[in-house]
Amino acid sequence: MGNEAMTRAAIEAGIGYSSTYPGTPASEIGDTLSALAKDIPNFYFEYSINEASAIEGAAGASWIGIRSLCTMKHVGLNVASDPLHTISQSGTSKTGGLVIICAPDPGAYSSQSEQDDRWYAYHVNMPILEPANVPEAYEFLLKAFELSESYDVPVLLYPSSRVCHSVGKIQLGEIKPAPAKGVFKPAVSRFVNASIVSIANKKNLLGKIKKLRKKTDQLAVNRVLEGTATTGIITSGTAFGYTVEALDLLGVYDIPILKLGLIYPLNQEEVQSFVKTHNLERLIVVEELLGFLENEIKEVLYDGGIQVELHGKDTFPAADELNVDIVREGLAEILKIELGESYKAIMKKSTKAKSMAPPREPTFCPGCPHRATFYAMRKATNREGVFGGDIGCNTLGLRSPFALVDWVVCMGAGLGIAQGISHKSDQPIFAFIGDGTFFHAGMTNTLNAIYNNANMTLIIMENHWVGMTGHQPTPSTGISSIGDPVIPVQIKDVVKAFGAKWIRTVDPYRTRQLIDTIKDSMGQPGFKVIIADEECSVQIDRRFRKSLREKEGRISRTYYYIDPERCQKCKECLQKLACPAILLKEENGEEVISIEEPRCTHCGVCLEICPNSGVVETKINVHLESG
Amino acid sequence: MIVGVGGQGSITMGELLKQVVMENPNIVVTGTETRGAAQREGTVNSTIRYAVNEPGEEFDERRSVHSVLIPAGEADIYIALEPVEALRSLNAVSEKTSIILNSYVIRPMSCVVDGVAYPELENIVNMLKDCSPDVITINGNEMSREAFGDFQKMNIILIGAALATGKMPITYEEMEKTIRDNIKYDIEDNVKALKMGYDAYLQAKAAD
Repeated sequence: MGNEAMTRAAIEAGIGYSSTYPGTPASEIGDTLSALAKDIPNFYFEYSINEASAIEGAAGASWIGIRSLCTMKHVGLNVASDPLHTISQSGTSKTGGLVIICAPDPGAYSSQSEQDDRWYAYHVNMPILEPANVPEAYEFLLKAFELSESYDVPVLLYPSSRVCHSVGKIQLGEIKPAPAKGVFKPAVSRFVNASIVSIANKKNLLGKIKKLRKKTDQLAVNRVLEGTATTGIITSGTAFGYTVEALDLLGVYDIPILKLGLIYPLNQEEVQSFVKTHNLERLIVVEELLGFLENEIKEVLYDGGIQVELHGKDTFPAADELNVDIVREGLAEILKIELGESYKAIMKKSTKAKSMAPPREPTFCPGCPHRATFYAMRKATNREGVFGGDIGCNTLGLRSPFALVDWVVCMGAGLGIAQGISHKSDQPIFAFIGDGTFFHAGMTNTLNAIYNNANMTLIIMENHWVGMTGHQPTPSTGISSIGDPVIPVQIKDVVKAFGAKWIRTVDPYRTRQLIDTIKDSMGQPGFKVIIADEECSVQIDRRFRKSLREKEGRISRTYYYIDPERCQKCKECLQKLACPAILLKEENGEEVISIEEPRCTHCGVCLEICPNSGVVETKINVHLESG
Repeated sequence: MIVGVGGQGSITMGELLKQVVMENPNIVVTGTETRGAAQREGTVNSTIRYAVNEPGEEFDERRSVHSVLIPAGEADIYIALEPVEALRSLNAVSEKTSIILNSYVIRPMSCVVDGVAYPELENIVNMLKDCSPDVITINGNEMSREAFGDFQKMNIILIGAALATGKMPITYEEMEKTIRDNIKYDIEDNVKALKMGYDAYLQAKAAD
């Protein structure tokens, strides 16, 4: 996987420090480093509570001469951007390069937006390398450290989700061990970014970028695929692969292509000479998301007094992910080539088939405690009120039948916006937040809401893992960043210390109790906290299956089934709880509701909520001898 | 190409089908899997693209595989782990594609809760046949449940079926070895599942 290839490169580069806040599509880098941390010499790894903490820690290590890697998803850079704007002014160190991997998510498959982080280059004045595939991701990471150290700047590696989650073969190199320790040497003129120092550092930084702009060829990350046509293409990253395959499918092989690896800063001379030496009359820029390269290229061409016909975002979409077919259609339009009847027939048939398929939105897994919490919320409020949603698995509460997420903005904004509304509305106000997000961005908003006496209820859905992103630990898991046992943080104590007076902890599997607790909260003044505390069912199920396989431990498990005699077919479990493990079948012309045992995780919520005692439980104790 | 519902195992299948050629110097492999939010019971897919270079053949970058996503009609094998999911990505399918449909239904919430009709299996199969005549239907979930008491071997059963198309640049033995080397538990059951899928495909093909 691309993420593993970059991890390997980082280890070979001799990183001594790495920090991350997990986020798809970058999460497997941190996960791999976490798993390997004890085997990498002189290495420190942390899951930071947010990206700002992560980048600050990584900068600290870099400043004392330790190579540092900080990884995050694209929107994570927003959180890290405050410190990063100033860290870039202070620079890195001669032996302690600072590389940030920031992975974009074109198509927003797993994000609240498909934000284009390349524009941060202008703010932060930070070089950006964009790999097109797995071998390049590996190679560019090694180059990023060299670049960071030789130009004394943090460097951003920008692998798209399709590179992070792709596979490829790499040639392994030798692992260079990191130095055990570094020493901080005070340098006011470098690190104390106040007033005069800040301006001097900014001038210095601009000078570094200007110098790099002239020498990008020395990095050997840009290259040209030769061709004799008078139309040329400039592209980078995954768009390069789409372009080459689209041209192949269109039967065009003579278009010269400049493939950029360093997408900021551009080398003016390199771009100008690509146009001039190929006598180009027309230039096409193919890139994911907004027209960042197009913008840069226009600037370079203007400065060089070069006039060519230029196409980019006038033809290719600036929103949603590209693919070979979108690029093929765009290129066909510009080059005036027919797409062919068979292509059109495929597109027509597949569009028709797609319209036949009922929509399938993601929903909670079977046994998910969040499902029980949203069910309880729906019952307790009858959907009357305002419901602030947040980032993470709990976002899925927006789906039918719950429809209890009124907005999703960014980490912590469910609560932040809700507390604003609470000061100016008499509606019942609720906000949801997971424990990962609570530590990331929710604590400050909680304190703010308590200090300002917001009249609302915060539901902290504590499942003890960063679920959506792949089950990384949070401070309340009881596991350190590298897998050692630690004392878990009690969220109850945190909110109590902030001054919350009304705090209740309920297991959402005790769904009826949770319904009552939510109702109770609505009659109370001020800021109320309900901690819906139950571990992620995927993790519970994994441990159960592991115990079964390894035949160790004593397991007691309760099995549930629906008694067809007692079931009144009210469909509460099927349609209101909407558990994916409960199925409606037809047997002998009659509707039968049943639990699909292989999908059931034995949470028991269906039994808890069944109004007719139709669900029956059987407790089975499995005693497994060790060995 | 593999399409399905989050939680069905499309990531595991994709990883195994990439792992199997990692040691083969003549095959370049790429491809990707849906990860993150969409995984949770949503629509997911995995792509696997092999580029086979005969030894001594010169590498032509302009005519090689780059994209992890499959261009229109270019899928050689299209494995659908769930019937309506089969309908969603048919742009990858053309007349040259072998379609393998796992007929086990997972009704989306839009059907269960909002009452949207789930299409008849027969209509789905007809739609698939309209895109490629080569459609084989097997119920990997029921085969797995019957033989092993769970659904976990459905993925390996379908990999076995895909091998039986004869279109993969790998041998049965290579696949079996990859399963033995990479699957951590129930190894013998998984090896058995591979054979079950292989045989089921050939049987269905013969009856077709």
